[in-house]
Amino acid sequence: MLKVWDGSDWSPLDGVKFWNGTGWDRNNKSKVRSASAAWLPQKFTDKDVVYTIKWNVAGRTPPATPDPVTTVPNIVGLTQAAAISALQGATLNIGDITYFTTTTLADDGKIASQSVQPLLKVPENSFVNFVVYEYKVATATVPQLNGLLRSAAESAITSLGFIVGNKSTVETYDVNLIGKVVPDIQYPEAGTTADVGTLVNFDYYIQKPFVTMPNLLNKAEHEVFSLLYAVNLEEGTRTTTETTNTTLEGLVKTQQYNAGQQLQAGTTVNYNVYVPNTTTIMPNIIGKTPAQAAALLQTAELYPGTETNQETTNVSLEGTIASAQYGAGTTRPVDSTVNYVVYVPNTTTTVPNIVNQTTAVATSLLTTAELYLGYQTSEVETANTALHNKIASQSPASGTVQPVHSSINYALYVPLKTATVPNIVGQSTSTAAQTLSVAGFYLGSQTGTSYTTNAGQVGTIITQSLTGTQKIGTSINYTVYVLNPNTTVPNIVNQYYTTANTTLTSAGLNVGSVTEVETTNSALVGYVQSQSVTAGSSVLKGTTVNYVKYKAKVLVPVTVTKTGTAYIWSPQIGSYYGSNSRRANTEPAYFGQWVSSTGNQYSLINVTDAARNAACNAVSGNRPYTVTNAAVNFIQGSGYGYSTKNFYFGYSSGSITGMPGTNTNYVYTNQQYVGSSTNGNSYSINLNSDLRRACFTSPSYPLVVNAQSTAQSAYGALTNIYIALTIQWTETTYV
Amino acid sequence: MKLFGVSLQRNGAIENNNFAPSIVWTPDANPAFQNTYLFPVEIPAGTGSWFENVTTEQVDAAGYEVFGGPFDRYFNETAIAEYKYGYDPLWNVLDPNTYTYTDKQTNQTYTLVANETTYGFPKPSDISEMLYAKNQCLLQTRLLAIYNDNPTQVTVKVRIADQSFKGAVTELINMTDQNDPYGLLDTGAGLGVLYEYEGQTGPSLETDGADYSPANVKFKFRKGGLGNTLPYIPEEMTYTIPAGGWAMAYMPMYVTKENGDYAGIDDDYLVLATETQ
Repeated sequence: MLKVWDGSDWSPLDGVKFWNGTGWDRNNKSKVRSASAAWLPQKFTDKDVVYTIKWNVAGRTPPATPDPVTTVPNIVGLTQAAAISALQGATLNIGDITYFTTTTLADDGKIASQSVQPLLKVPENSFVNFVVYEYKVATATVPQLNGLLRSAAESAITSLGFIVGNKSTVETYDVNLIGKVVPDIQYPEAGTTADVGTLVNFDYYIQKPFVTMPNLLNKAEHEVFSLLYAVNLEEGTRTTTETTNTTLEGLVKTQQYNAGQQLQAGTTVNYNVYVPNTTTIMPNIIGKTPAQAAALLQTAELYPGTETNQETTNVSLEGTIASAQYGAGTTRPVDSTVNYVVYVPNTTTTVPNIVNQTTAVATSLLTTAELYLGYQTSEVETANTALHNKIASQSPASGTVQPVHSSINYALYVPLKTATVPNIVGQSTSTAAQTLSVAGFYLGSQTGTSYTTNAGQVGTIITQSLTGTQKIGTSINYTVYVLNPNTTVPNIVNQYYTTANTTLTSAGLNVGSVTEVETTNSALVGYVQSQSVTAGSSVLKGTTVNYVKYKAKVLVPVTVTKTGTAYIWSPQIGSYYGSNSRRANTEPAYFGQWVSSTGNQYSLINVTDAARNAACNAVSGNRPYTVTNAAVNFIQGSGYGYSTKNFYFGYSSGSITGMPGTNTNYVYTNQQYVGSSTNGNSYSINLNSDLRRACFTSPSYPLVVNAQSTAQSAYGALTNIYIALTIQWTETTYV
Repeated sequence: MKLFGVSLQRNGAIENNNFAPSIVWTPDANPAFQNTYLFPVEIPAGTGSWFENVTTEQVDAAGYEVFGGPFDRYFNETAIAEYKYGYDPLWNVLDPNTYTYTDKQTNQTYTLVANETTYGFPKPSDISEMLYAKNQCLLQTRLLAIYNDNPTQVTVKVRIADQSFKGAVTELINMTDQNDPYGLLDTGAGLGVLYEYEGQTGPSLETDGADYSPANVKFKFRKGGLGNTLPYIPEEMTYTIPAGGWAMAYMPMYVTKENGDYAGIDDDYLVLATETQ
């Protein structure tokens, strides 16, 4: 964004072009000058840099090699303490000490070898490493004895320098183990390291003795444990065999091993014992009388149980057993009961199906089933002649069980009863109902409607569902005329709103919400601009139609305050000295002591009301204005007095037109201190509020210029004088 | 961006003497404080013209001596006691391992705790001993002034982009608000060290002209110390500098001689570079 000063205000610009002398260029760059008068931006470098810095490093002084001055002592065979003492006595340092294992006790702790040979000359403080013997007893690895024969195990122990220790025996019947070492029982364990001469203990297997099986057959059962325990055998599983022979009860029937057989001690022996019988076989009692069945059951150690009945129409079966609780040949507990069923004469029968049969056939079927044909309870009309005079339904239904000799009622098919349906088209529904009733029919349901705009047709029947010959009692459905509920929306645009309301109401429509839109055309005020439902469309009566109507727009006055600058280029000038002597009536405007003979002087700068009004009205467009600032612009004249001087502004009371030869008005000097000014420089001095009001408000007084002192050093003159008035006025517009 | 050394005088020779006795301290309005001025000058390009060439005597004098103490007992004879070892670059890398050494004379064990010592050889027994060893290897120290000649504030990285690691190794260290625990910028026995101006992270900027351009600016230091608490090699610093502004760093150089045969190094070097973000 860029702004430029157009003389009265800052105006924004979207872009700038540059004139290169022959044409307008784009994409040029520009600079601005800062407050310190430097052009920005300044040149810069944004590159990274690399510096290589080198130097030389001299070598250091090599150290002198020390001369060999001391003799290495022979320390082999000395103790470690004696060897360290010998080396330190020879001004030598102790180097690395390592150890070497020996089984010779006499060598323990003595030096085995040294790193520097004895009697060699070496520098002082050289390091001498040496090796020291360390005594340890001989050891061997204990052998694995598992599975070895005892003799082989003893050889393995003694061959390694160990001694055979304690040997225990373990009995076994396994011939493959007898004589061999028991596994994983030796001590010390196989694989461990033990000193030579250590005792090695182990166990080995020997034969275990057998026992003789005693005779248990026909022995009482309570003797079995004693007989087996006496020979170190175990009592095994006891099984039983049932017998009806009471003399055998409680005696051993069989034993697992024959008497006299050799068995391993601890063997378990199973045996079988006779016990009384607890079951019997069920006899066949089907077809027998209850008395015959009771005899059969008693023989088989059973008893008759509960007797129940089953009806039968077979007379030959009556009084015999139809079924039993358990089948013949099944095993039953002794003295248990057996329930059974006995055939008895029937009291009920199953109803046969007699539908679609003539009454003669139905009577035959019912007689067979020990039933009777009852009453005809109703008729069923049918157009099917094949069914006429046949049974349409029965009660009770077929398949149900009924007492014998009861009756079965029925309904009979008969021919249809019909009439001709009367024409009810064009009749009202009440009339049609009466018409149909007379003919034996009923008015049915309304099944549809059609719109009509003829009010006389509304409610009359259009069509009927059935005509011609129909079954009496049939319902006749129908359709009727109804009034059309729709209307056509009228066009109300450009109608005056009261007319539009009448138009909508006449068309059966409701007037909805009315909104307003402003217009500056008075001829449109009150007229409809638009409607919510399109004219010509078909809608239900009672539909609401909204519309927009025009209303008059009201203008609002807005007052804006504006400012501007009016310039008065040539104000009237007059200079006075002494006793109101006149010096000049044009620039420059003198002040201060000119020469001693004329004394102090001052000047008038006069802007008449007419001149001010002319300049300001040209800016405000002849609107009333107010002067808000008055700036006196001038160049401090060269060639008058000292180069710098101080002076004041004041005013002379009394409005004047044209510079008088003698100023008789009161002169008020020293009203506003202007400050120090320099010859040849330009200045713009804003008058204070009092001077601005005295000199630029009607009636306006001349502005006075006077020196700070009456010395000749204060003498000066103003040239190129013009006045810049900042004015303010108001303007009114209507929006 | 531009980089400058400093001088004791306007347009004077670049200062190569670790600011030692040449610095004149002038009392402040509060006589408890003393200040000195330094001025920016261009970094010269010739070998030995900024970091000076190092003489045999300086190499002999600098370094860490493995004498008498536990070292000749912790280590075998490959550690020569009376030789001086130079700065090992691995001294600035923390060692995560734990070491246990046995004194061959007393059988007493010494444990160097993980992450409390550094790599390198000889291995100091703790961080403080490493710092002592590092200080013993100090050869020279230079002040570096960084000038942002851009019209806007920038963030710039200043780094030692490359260096030889042969005769000497150099660090680039920022000014902080802490003291100088190692005395790296000590101007001499009892003469004090350069210290950032009161309340600022660097010297106070003053000018002899209308702006703070290199031709006019001068750096006012207070007598005190500069910070260095970083136990690793600092080779890169990031500064945010306003338009036409300055930042300060200093660069200590250490000898890196090894035990054993050692020859002088010609054209030992480092490369200073900036990278504007």
